[in-house]
Amino acid sequence: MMEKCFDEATLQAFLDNELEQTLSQKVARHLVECDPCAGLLAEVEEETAFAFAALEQEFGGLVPTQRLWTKINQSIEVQHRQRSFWQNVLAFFSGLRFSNPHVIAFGSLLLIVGVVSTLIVLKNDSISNNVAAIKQTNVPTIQEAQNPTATINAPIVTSPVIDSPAVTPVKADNQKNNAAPQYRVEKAIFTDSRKNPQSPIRDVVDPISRAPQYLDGEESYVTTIARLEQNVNQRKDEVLTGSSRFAYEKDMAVVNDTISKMKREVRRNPKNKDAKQVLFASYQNKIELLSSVTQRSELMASLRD
Amino acid sequence: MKKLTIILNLIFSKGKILALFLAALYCLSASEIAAQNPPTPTPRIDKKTAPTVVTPNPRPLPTPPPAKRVVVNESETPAEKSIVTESKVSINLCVQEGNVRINGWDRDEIRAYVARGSQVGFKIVQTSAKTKKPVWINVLGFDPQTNKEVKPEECLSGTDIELDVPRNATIKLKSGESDIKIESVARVWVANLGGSIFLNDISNGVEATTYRGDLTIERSSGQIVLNNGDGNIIAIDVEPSEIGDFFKAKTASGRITLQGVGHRLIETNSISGSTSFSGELLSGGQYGFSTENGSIVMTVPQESSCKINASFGFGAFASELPLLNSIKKEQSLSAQLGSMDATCGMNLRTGSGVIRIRKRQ
Repeated sequence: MMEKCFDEATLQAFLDNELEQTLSQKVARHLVECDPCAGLLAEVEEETAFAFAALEQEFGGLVPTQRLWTKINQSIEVQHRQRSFWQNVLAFFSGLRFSNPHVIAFGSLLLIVGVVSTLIVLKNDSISNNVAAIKQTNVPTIQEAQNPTATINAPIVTSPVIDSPAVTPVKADNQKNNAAPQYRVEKAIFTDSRKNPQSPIRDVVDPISRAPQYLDGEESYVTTIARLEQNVNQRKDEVLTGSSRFAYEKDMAVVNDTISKMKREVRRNPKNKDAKQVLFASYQNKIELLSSVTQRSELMASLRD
Repeated sequence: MKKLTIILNLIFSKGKILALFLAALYCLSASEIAAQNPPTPTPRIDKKTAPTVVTPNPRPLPTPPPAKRVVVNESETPAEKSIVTESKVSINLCVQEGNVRINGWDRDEIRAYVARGSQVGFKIVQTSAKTKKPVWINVLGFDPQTNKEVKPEECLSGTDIELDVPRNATIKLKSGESDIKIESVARVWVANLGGSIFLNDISNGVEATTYRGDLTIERSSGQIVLNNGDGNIIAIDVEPSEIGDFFKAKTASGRITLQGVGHRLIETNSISGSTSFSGELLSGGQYGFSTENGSIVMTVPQESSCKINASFGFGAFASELPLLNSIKKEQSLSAQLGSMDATCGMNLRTGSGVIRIRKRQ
């Protein structure tokens, strides 16, 4: 049974690639079956083309639409939420007005006092460690590894497997033997930081997994695009003006959207050859889009010669 | 408590002087730094996510050459000149701005006309060894015979620029902002920064590029390459002149409409725009249509026979014609169109759109 027809606004959003993925697929399926809707889509497409031509001057100013502003604000909000503790701390300090001499003076005083007191405290501790009696007389403990194959103890580890158990000096000294510090042997305990976000070893990242993982042949596309982007970004303000710039940014957004969609699809199912094909074709389109800016600037230059 | 006592002891001892001295010194240097201009923030690159990119050293942008002087036609009548040539002549010209119209006629002669703009002149690059008539000519925005100025502007400019050229002529045209219409010549190479291009009755091949505007070709033959940055591409009744001639059309944002294109090798690509093909699928033909975001509609005769490979990302596929040996996956389909053995191949790809095969009425 054929689904209910979609209204013009939905078709417009479909054309602009702004629908949710599921709804977009639904619309696409419906359009295949429904001739009136396909006709309406063609009309909307024509109207859009007409509007673009008529509003060329308006678009020349690159005025962002309300929808775009909403998207930008949402992105900023998401980024805010994803900021780590240290990024927040950094933001707090960068928010301070360091140009005010009073703030500098106060900060400097605090810093000096802090450093001096820390030094004194540390010195005091070392003196008391050497001189004062320690009440802790616990027998050194041995913690059995729950998973001996994967051992992580240090906060930053460069390899997922450490053969030798971690060794940490024990502060609790034996009263009778101060000179030779005793060691407590701790076999590391494997902890999956993804399962336990409160774990203190969240920062443990394998450098291999940190490196971007490319599909076969993907890296050359990414490298080429990066190089072209660098070149194009330098001169696109000069080469692309008005409606051309608008069209370029729109096309770039469409290509980037397809690339990110297809990347997700390929990550989800690495055996999906169709998604890979579309992904690579989109990379190629991006390269051609970037190259077109260069070709355009070459034509401009040749007309000046 | 003990620690606090030590701190207090230090403050009330000689350490107090040292601390104050350091604080004063620090304040002084900090004030000096604050008095300077704030440093410009540099973009931060997240090393965790950014791929390792080997980028070349940034090259400085070339400084544009100083603008050349346009030799303006100060006469009350439009600039007009003509020259006798070989029938098979190559004509180069560039146009800064103005509507350009180039028309092939049955005379072995070039006539150039510029209204309200620059002067016009010819520079003979090469002549025929036999007849001594020009076979290669540059059309200039000044007359090199009368104007002795060092390097004036070579490009033509005006409101209307018209050329009548021999039918067998090859045209090479570079243009800034122009609407261009070329008819009844042998071969065309045209690149336009902005403005529409209309080509009609071109007998031996076309390579046309515009970065903004529509690109239309009608009743032409030969190898066809059409590029458009922002605009539609329309091809009607186009065919090859030799075996192996191909048809390629590419637009960033715009529709591609092909009607009666008789090439056996057709390739189109669009980023955001639909593609529609209406015509026969020839035996041995290879057809590739792709779009990033748009539909692909193929309107073909009922008796058509072709192998289809369609991939439709987040879109869908539908055919009004019967499909044999169909293998459908999540995002792709391969099948045979028609009941006979397929003799041609068709690759259709859309990122998010609809692929439809329709029966021609």
